[in-house]
Amino acid sequence: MRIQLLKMIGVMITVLLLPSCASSSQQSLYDELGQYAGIDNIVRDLIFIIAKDERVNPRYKGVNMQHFKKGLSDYICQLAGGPCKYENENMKQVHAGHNYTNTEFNAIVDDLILAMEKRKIPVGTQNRLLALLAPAYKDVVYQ
Amino acid sequence: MKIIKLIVAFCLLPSSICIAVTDSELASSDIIGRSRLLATGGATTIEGIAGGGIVPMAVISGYGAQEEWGATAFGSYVDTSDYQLEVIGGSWSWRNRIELSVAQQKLTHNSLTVALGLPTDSIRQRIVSAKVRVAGDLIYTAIPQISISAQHKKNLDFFVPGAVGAKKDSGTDINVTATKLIPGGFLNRNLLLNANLRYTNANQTGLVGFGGDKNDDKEVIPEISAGVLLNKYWLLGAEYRQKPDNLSFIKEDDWQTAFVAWFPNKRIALVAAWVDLGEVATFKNQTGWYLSLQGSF
Repeated sequence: MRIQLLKMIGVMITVLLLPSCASSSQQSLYDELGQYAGIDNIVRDLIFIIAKDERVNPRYKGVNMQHFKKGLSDYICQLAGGPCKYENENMKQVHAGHNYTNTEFNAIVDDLILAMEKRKIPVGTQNRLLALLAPAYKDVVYQ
Repeated sequence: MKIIKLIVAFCLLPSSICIAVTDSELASSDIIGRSRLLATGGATTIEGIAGGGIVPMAVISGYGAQEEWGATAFGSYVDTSDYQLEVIGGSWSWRNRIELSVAQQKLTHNSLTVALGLPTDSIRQRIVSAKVRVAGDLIYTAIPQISISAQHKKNLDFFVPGAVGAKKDSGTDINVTATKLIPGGFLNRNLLLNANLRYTNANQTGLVGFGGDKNDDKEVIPEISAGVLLNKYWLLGAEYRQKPDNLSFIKEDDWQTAFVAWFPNKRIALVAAWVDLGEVATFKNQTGWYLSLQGSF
């Protein structure tokens, strides 16, 4: 009986681990996002959505959007495992002193999801990127 | 509005062609005052506080972020073979910090009325709850979102509960709840994990009163739930709620549900579930269906 139980636990662990084994051989996130051109397009659409989003657009007054676009694309490219180097100051330095709010952070995430949907990025890919971006919260909000 | 018009001209292309967002596009944009992501307000439990169907979550109801507020209203219906439960209620939440809610339940027990020759066929209960988020964020922090809540329950038809041995017609449950959404946590789908510890002596959530001949003391009871977001609109999940067993006359079993929740937008959430309540007041195998509609404001 005990051996059978152990076998069953073994099978369950194997089943639970299978997805993670599979994921190690899956396409890199950078490729899934369509490489740099794909990321660039997402960020471009994001900027248009932000422009219409009254929760956050006042923050972009006077911001050099070309600079913002390149910075964010490079940042995402690097996070996603692409061959880019994000050259700007780190997340904490970039956002320091602005006291960005929890509301604004949520709004940007909302807008990014909309941009990815517009670019027909699959849900699983969206989630992989969001998982990499979420930890930036502590460096961005109320700084 | 003036400021917005001024700033919506963005120079995007290397050739420095400026692309302006037109006024008509601006006019079509919705003003959204509830900024948390879809589904992160959860549904409303049968006890009025935000969660699944029977197990609370640490999330604060509605979609208000930390500079906003929110509110919800809900109606739920459960039908097992021998019992029906109707619940209505609502909540108000402030800055993703505090949630206040009220729920009115009505349990109809025709089978029990017939079997025991009772003069009544229903029991009502009113629940007033307060929840505070004490730490963490559902998505953005490494630690789970942790909330503490108190639910004051008043049984309004204590005749049957008293007759089967319940000691009191009111009680207060204390919950400590931890909830975490892990982006891409299950096959690249967002994974929701939730655990609640409830300090209670309520019989069948209080519908059969509080305390009993077998046990009158409050005890700490675990409840868990988990779910997977197929996409941002659909959540599949299951819940397990351990229960006290205070009355020698009627056995009380643990509850479980399997549910599908639909969040078509930030205004509406619809939950359908299969429920297994075990033995409820002498009637065995109480399985059935649960439906809940929530509106968020």
